[in-house]
Amino acid sequence: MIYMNDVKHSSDIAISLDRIHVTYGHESVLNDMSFQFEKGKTYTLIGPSGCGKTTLLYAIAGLLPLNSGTVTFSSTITRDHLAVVLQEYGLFPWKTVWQNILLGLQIKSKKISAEQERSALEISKNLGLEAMLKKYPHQLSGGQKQRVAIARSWLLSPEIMLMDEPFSALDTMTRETLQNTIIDLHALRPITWITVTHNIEEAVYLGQEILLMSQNGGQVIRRIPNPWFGSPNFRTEAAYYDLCRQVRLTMQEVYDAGGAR
Amino acid sequence: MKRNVYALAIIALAWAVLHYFVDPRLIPSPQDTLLALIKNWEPILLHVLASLYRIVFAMVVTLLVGVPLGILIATHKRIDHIVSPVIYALYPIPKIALLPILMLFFGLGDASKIILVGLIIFFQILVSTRDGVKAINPSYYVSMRTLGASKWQVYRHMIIPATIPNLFTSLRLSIGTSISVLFFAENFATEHGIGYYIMDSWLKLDYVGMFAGIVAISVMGVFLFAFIDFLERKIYRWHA
Repeated sequence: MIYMNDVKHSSDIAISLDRIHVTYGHESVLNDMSFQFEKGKTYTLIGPSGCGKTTLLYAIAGLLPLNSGTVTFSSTITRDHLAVVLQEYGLFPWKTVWQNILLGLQIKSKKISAEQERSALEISKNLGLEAMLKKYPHQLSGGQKQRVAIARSWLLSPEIMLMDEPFSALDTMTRETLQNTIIDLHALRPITWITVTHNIEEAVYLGQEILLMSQNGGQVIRRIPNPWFGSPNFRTEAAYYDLCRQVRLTMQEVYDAGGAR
Repeated sequence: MKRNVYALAIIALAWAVLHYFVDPRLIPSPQDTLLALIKNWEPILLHVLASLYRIVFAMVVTLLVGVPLGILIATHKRIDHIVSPVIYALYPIPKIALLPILMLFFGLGDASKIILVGLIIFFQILVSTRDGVKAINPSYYVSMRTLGASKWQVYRHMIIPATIPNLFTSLRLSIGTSISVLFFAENFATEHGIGYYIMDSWLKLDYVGMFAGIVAISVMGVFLFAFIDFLERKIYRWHA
């Protein structure tokens, strides 16, 4: 079953995928997929390994060629307004935390203004990094590294944030703290935020809309809205557990109950 | 510092043992050698400087040629396919065997000796630079692309820094070989260089002078290694 979006007013749409098709070798990973991501909304993409979640993210980011179809951004958004956070952090070992945070700005604007430095310092403080600005990435924990990567992306004032399993290498406590950070940042400046994850709880916590990808064929087959997104103490609310359960049941239903017990 | 003192003491002790128990005429005592070194410090220093000049000159030129070439090979598959087999064919040739040819082409003077040392360092630098770039984590390329980096920015922020750790390792590895090969090369058509000084003392049966020269060459080696360590601390700051 292919889920078609409701027709939205075009100015509300941040990213529009029109029949995008991506193949690796002979295998279609994304199969004529169409979808529209709204401005300012958070989405989580969940699905079994190999379902094309990461490929979809890379296709949006322009990191891989499409066999056919188009990715269109809203007229006010260009690829420059797009930031990506990867699972492997993507920090450069030869740069200090501070240099890593500034790298995106340095690449985009050549010369960094005093004001940009001020905002870099502010986001560093916000993310609890101010004590480690002179350190090198190898001196940081996984969670701290991912904070640096988030700070670097956030500093570019993106309109769209794409995260590819950003916290899957982290322990539960660190992961939850970082998830809260994402919620806080989104509250600060509501941008379109797409997170790929294979963790149901994470998908529920970070998504205003949870998108289930089909096992193969690369389609969004279910959209589960999360009206409680961002509500205080959501993680301990019954609604949170209900939603996790709903996602799990849906996954069982659509993936032939394979392993989702 | 303390470690260095211990090392020196052990060497001096072993040396003294050899002097007293093997043959005092063939192996002069450490103290006599030290006195000779102090007495002749001026000519010895000049010889050391002549050798040092050859090594450092060769090192700088080799870095300037080897690093860009290594990067070029690593980033261009087609060049790699053509050049790498050539490197593998030339790398194992003992460069000292090329000395007669080098002297034929570049004369008897400094040039042939510098080129000889340069060739030894060159292959180490070339191969380690190439491998350093090839070993860059693929996710770094993705990061660079998502940050919108231009080709030049990718080189500046990623590829060039990635070559640095290997560079220091290969410099250290090649310096030992360079000194020993230079020692040999300095026996031909020159009257400068610590290699010449040692062989000249030997031919004059001046064993004390010969040993003073050997101590000097060792001190030169220590100095070169210390210099590389110093550069490493300055440049390779992210060292774990």
